[in-house]
Amino acid sequence: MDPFWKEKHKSIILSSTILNIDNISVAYSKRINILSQVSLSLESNQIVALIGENGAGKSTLLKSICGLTAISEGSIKLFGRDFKEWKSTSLAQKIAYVSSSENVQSIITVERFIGFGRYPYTSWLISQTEDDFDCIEGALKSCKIEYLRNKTMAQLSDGERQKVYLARAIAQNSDLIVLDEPTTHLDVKSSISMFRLIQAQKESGRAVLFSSHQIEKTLSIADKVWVVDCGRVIETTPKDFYENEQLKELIFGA
Amino acid sequence: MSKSTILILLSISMLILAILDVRSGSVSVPFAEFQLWVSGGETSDVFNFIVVQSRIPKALTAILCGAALSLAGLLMQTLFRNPLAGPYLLGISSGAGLGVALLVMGAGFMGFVVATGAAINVAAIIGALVMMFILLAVSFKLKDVMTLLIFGVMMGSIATAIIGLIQFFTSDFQLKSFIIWTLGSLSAVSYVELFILFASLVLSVAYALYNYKGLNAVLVSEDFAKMLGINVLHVRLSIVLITGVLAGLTTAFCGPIGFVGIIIPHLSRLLLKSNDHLLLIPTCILLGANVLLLSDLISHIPTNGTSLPINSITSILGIPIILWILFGKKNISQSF
Repeated sequence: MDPFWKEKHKSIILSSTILNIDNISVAYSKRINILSQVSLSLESNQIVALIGENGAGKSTLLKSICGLTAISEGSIKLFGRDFKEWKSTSLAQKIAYVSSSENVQSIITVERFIGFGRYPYTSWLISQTEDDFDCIEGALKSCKIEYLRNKTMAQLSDGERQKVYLARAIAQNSDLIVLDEPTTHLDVKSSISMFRLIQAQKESGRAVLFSSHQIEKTLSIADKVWVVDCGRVIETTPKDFYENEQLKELIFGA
Repeated sequence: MSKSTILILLSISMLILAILDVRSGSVSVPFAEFQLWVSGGETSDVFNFIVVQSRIPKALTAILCGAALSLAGLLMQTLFRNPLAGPYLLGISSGAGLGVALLVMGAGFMGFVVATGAAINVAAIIGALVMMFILLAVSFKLKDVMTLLIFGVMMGSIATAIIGLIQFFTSDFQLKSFIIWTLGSLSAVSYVELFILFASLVLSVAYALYNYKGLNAVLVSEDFAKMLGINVLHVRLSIVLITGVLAGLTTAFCGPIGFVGIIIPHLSRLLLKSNDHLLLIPTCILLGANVLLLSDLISHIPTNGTSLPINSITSILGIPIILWILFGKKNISQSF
């Protein structure tokens, strides 16, 4: 028998866990905690929905998961390695993030904007290899926005722009895509197609973590739900959420 | 028009403007004399003085200063994602001005006159460097780039206020020599100074081109760039450093030359219809050189042997362009 089977087995178990959030706190000032003692984990091939009131700490949680907000306590491990041990370019190959405040209204074309997703992979001047072109093409296709490729970001509608942001994250070819409120400002049709696109990411083996206020649609595609309330996070499943009166009251009000 | 055609045309027009600039002036120089000089023959002392010692360095100054100011302006606008940012916004030129004011007028207090160009240059460079190091130190501390911008504007205002105080207590003679410095001049820059400017420009351009991807990403937002694996603090510090050196040197050698740094990046973006720094950087440099050469040519228009102050020319040329951009169909925020 293979003497290393245990080792190999262990690595398979580890690789299915993308994120391990262990007891983290994020402090606004010395006294006020935005997040306190949050412990969560996120596996590959999973769609995790983040719900909660405005100001509950959703964006802060997403930002600290991406390393954009410093945590004051605890640790975040990505594929079993602490965040601080990751090089910034290899981190960018693992996590793609779309901020809620992103509003790109410039003369950059859609195709070039999606090309940003290839930055962690390309070196200086050798801007794009065939591989990169394939990734960009694939991202355009999977979001069904090939027809937008030569438009500038300033010419897009809100719905189109949000799809382009997602396509950029897809082109980054990361294991985890983090989307902060991708359905805000979108009309019914656009948000439905956005949810479909998020759901489709599972087929390519990625995990998606996103926040949204459209609770019903969000829960219909999620495998796991993180409910944020006053800096605490409760982990549950969509089914359990609907059965839990307390959580429902937290989100929908009394 | 393809993007490379634009670059080639800009290079050609820069050469033509440079030749015209060397040819023009209060004394007309026969073409035969140029041919003689180019072929390495013996030329007259008058030719040597007018062309080799005065006009060629002046044309080179226009090229280098135009390029340096435009690059500094482009980098500032990218860092602050603000269409009105320019090399002077961070108070670097005010710092240089304060250095010169302290030297020219401060020396007057103590009873001696400072009129040498070298001393003024040193004072301006020291003033700009001090301001730049304050900004660098602060930019380590500040998380937000907008706060840095406000801090820079405030530092500039303080420097200007101190200059005003010094002016109030100073004699007419000292005041005049300071005012003349603020008008700006492309002449009286020595070959050594030109070399210093050239070397800093080459290093800055090389660095900016090497980091063009970081600049492209930072233009979207700093968090966006961070998540693409770009070291944002590094980009921010180097932009402050490059702008400080380039704006400081040009201010030291030629006085404050306004508007070039703000306008050229906008014109380049409109011309290219792109904000990719790989193309923007060379375009900005060439366009900046073109515009400052043109301004210098215009400043020669009075035929009585004098030339107009360059700072007024760039402002008179520049303000209509800003107004055209602001009121015209071209929307700055959408070309950004």
